[in-house]
Amino acid sequence: MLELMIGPRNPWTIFDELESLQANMNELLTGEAASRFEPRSRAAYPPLNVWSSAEGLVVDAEMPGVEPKDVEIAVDGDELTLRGKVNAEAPGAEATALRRERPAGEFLRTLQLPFRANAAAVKASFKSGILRISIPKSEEDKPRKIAIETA
Amino acid sequence: MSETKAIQKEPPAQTPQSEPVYIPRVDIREDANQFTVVADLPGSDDKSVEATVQNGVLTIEGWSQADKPQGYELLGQEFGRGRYRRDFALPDQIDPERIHARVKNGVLTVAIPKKEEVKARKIQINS
Repeated sequence: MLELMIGPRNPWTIFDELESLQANMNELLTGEAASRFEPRSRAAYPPLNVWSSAEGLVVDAEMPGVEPKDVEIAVDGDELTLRGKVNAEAPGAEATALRRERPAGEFLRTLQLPFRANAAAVKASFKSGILRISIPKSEEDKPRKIAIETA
Repeated sequence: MSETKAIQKEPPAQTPQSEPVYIPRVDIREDANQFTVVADLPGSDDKSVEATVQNGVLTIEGWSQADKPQGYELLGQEFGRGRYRRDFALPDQIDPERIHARVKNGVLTVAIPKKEEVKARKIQINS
């Protein structure tokens, strides 16, 4: 589909569908329904992909345009918090915005982890606008294999 | 790291059709000298982004390679990875020869200068 770069924007909004697909990640991880104070109509920022293993979780956050220095990652017990700002710089006063589809502003997202994290061992890396955080379980929350003694 | 990439005049190589194609979000700005198209292509870098101008159409393409951590199972997914593509009809008053683009942090910025003669000029009024 060809769009005009200038002029009125297309009547259809391509992103409504995308946002309704966003699952409530906390509900998925903990099995608990979302609090009624949490609005579900607005998509949370940043969108996350989450993987798990016996060792812990790997969380990818999609945040193109965010500078690594503008993100604060905090792991406290069984909570991961991402806080920062995206596209916060205002375009020059002499420029006119013809389209504004990219998210802008401050964000705060908290993920309830299904275990207590080993906060000292959390690692994060940023590549092409995707932040990857690996969160190992604390030793006491790791599954332990129990040796069975023969009688 | 910011990279400058020349606009390519030939269409880029085809990627497999089975991959999903996402429509990147854009901001478009206009000032006295140029249009600026800013597109979110998370997961793409200077090697996997193409900006093409042909017959008055600007095509933005990118590729975000899936990167599954080894030994882990997917638990929840809120964003996909694959191909990006979006086409824009360029206005007449631009200079296609001077378009340039760069990629940084998964964001493509395309600067599209206006032709010299359409730039607003202040006319000196003699009394």
